[in-house]
Amino acid sequence: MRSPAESAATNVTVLDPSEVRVRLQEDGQLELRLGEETVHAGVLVVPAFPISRPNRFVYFRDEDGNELGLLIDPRRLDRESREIVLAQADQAYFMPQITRILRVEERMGVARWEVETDRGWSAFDVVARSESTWFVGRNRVVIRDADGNRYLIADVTAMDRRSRRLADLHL
Amino acid sequence: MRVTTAEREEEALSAASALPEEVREWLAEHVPGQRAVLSQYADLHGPGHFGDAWVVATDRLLLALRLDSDGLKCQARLALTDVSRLELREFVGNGRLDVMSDGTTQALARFTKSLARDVEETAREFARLASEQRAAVGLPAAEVAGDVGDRGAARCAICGRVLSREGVCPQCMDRKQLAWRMLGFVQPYAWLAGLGLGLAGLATAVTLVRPILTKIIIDDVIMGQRYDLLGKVVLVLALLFAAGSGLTYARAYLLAWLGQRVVADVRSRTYRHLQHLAVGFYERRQTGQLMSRLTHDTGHIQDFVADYLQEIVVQSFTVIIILGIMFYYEPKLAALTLVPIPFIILTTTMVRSRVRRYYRSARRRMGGIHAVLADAIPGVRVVKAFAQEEREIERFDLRNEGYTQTSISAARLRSAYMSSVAGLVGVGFVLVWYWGPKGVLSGTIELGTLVMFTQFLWQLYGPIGAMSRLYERFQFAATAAERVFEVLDTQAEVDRTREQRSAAEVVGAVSFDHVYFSYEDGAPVLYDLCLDVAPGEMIGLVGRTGVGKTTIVNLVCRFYDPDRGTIRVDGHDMKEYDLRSWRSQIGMVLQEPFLFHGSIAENISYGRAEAAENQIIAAAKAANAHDFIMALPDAYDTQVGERGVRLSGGERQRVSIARAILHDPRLLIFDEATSSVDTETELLIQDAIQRLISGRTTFAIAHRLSTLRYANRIVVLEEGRIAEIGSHDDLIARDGIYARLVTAQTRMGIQPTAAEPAADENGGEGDEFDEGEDEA
Repeated sequence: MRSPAESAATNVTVLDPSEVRVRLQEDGQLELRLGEETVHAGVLVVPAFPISRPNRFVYFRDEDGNELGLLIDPRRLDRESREIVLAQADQAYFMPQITRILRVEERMGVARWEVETDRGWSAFDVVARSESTWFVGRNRVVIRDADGNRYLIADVTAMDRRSRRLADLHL
Repeated sequence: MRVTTAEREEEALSAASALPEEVREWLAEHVPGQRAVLSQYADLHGPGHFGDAWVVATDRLLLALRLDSDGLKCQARLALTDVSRLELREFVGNGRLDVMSDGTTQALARFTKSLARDVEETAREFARLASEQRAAVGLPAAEVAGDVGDRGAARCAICGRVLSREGVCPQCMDRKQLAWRMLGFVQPYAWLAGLGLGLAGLATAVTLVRPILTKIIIDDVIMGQRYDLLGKVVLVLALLFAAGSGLTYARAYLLAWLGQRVVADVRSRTYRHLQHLAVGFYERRQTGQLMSRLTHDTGHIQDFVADYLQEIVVQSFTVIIILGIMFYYEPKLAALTLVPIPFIILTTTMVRSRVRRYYRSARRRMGGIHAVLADAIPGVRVVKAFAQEEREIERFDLRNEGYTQTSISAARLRSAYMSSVAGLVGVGFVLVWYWGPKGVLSGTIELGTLVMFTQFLWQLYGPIGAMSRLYERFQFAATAAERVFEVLDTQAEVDRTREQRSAAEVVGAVSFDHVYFSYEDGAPVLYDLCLDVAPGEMIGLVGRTGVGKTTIVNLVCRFYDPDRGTIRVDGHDMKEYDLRSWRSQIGMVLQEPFLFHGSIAENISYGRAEAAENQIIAAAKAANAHDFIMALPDAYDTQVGERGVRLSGGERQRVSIARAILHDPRLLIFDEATSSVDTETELLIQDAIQRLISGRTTFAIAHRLSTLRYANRIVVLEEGRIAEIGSHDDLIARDGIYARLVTAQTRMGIQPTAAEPAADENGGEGDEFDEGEDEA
């Protein structure tokens, strides 16, 4: 038996995209308008499935951490709102996608990766540990570097031969 | 903290030199006459692309610059006096530094986690600069808000590279120096080591003489028809074989003995050193890692001493002697044999590193297989209950396939390597077999020399391959040695320079005088703590996890020293007391009572090995432990600890209370001893505790507030400060934090668990208080 308060907490509040307006205020704070009257300021965007469904299933939370609702597909927002939400989601969960692996050199359990990503060239160190890399499904890989930055290989098999070989050896 | 002009000058210089040329040029052009005072590099551009950016503070301005393909752009420019607040924001994989002025917020920089720590530090410096300028015009100080969360990976203090899992810098490890230090371990046995290596050299020489004798048999005995020589030559040959086996035995035994001896010394020295290291050293490392330094890493050093040294001597000796002999007899033919050598070295070094990669990858994948098994086998009930067998099989097969693929690749590469080396050796043979017989037929080369050459060829190419692999083995030993040296190089905790006062006669008055403390990461734990504890007084420490309860206890035990302020015992600075003498006055009853491997009697008398049997029984009785001990078949001689009888939590606690009672300390540390026992046992324990604390100065950390009913005073800590202090009744009357907690716990306490003596655990605890570990 659930008390009414509990069922409110367990309900999934899905937002209707046509009701959602998102704007950036002067002071850099995010403003969320739901329908005509409700306005929240200082809103945070939190992706719920950042790895498996990036840019989808985005939660809005207010400053105190209260959930304001779930937006299933930001693409169905108006243009300005969409761009803001996607940029905020990208910032909240920054994970460049590796498009090409240039070099991987491992010494004493620390691998130095040099890669090309959709965000430009990058180099990072990965300490050999089981938590450092994990597969999501068969071909999707997340790499966590020594500092906690994340990198994604969306599909290992889709990369060029050399990248595939390096990935094969080091993942 | 005031910064002198000279320091400021220096700072400006270093800030300017840290900036690249183009930024300095830009500054000279756009803000002429102003110097860069402080700067911070950032590695992301606004929309989330990797790129170079800088935040620069000049004498008056704060600037955000970013380098685009068409040059530097100024992203933000404001007067330092306008900076009212800097805000750090933490996200996954990146962070942002914002600046607030006149109610508007601007982003100054975006950066990956790798720079988070630096940016946080520099942001405080920017705020300091801004505050100074604002103070001059009568504005309030600029503040810094937010933090960047994770503190990033451990990095090398010298080169800034990420350290390996073992805490060693792959870049800076000085291998040459390590080799010398490892040789230092051998030094006490230098004479024996020399002898061993000498024997190894001699044994090698013996094997090298055989082909020469073969040559003599062919050229002089057979071709020269000097049969009188045969007997002598064969006798020498037989003697050489005998000598060879004798030498081999002596060498092998001597070097093995030496290796074991040396490594035993290293182990013992390292362990002795570990025992004298401060608690802080242990807190930064995992137990397993430290244990592996003693067992695994020392083994690699043994390998270095027993094997590696001899290998170097034997192999290089072999190659040099063989080449010497060959060049002595037939320089031209000898030169031909050199042809494949560079190729052998090249192939070996090239293939080695690739094979190593495959093996490493295979090892990692085997780890993956282990992980799947470790998941699925203990979780088999869940798997079956959800009918997910097929899914688990698929998961396993995926890993299994991956591992097999890598192993096959490694095997293929290895086979290719073996066959190519064999091929290269073949080239040597072909050359010798072509030019050799030609020389023999033309009479320039003797037949015996040719046979000798073919025998030597086998002995020559082997060591060359082996030597190209030696470096890799040295690498292992060097890494291991580095880890062992790290322990040996860490300073032991006691500084014996001061006059040491004995703590044998202390009464137990402890006073904290404006004590500040932070652990290594710099986050302050205690601020300006002042507390006077009278002899025999019981102080209850209350507060959330991380609030500093355990830290206070750590300071009392002198596991750490305060950053500022003093802790006095009977009016003397605690540091004046001899450390061991002070600690012997402290008894501890911990949340997770630790029993050593051994009998119950040994565990009770741990702090006082000389205690008589009846004293042990008296202590056990006082701790309400006697009855359960006598019910065990082996009574006081029952083996406990890792491999012994499993005592229940309550029993262990009572053994540890008995230990403390027998130890008879002046001061008692008490860490919530009753967190996981049934009500009846709790009563027994409370009763024992009551006996234990009477007359001793006691610090009790409690999560369950009922434990504190005997406390003379209760200290409620909040954010490293004393929020409330007083007796239970005082604090209830005050109706503050403590009163709220008591109400909350009482409410939680009215639950069926209280009525069921057998139901144990945490039924009565408020959720605001963890029953788990404190911050330590």
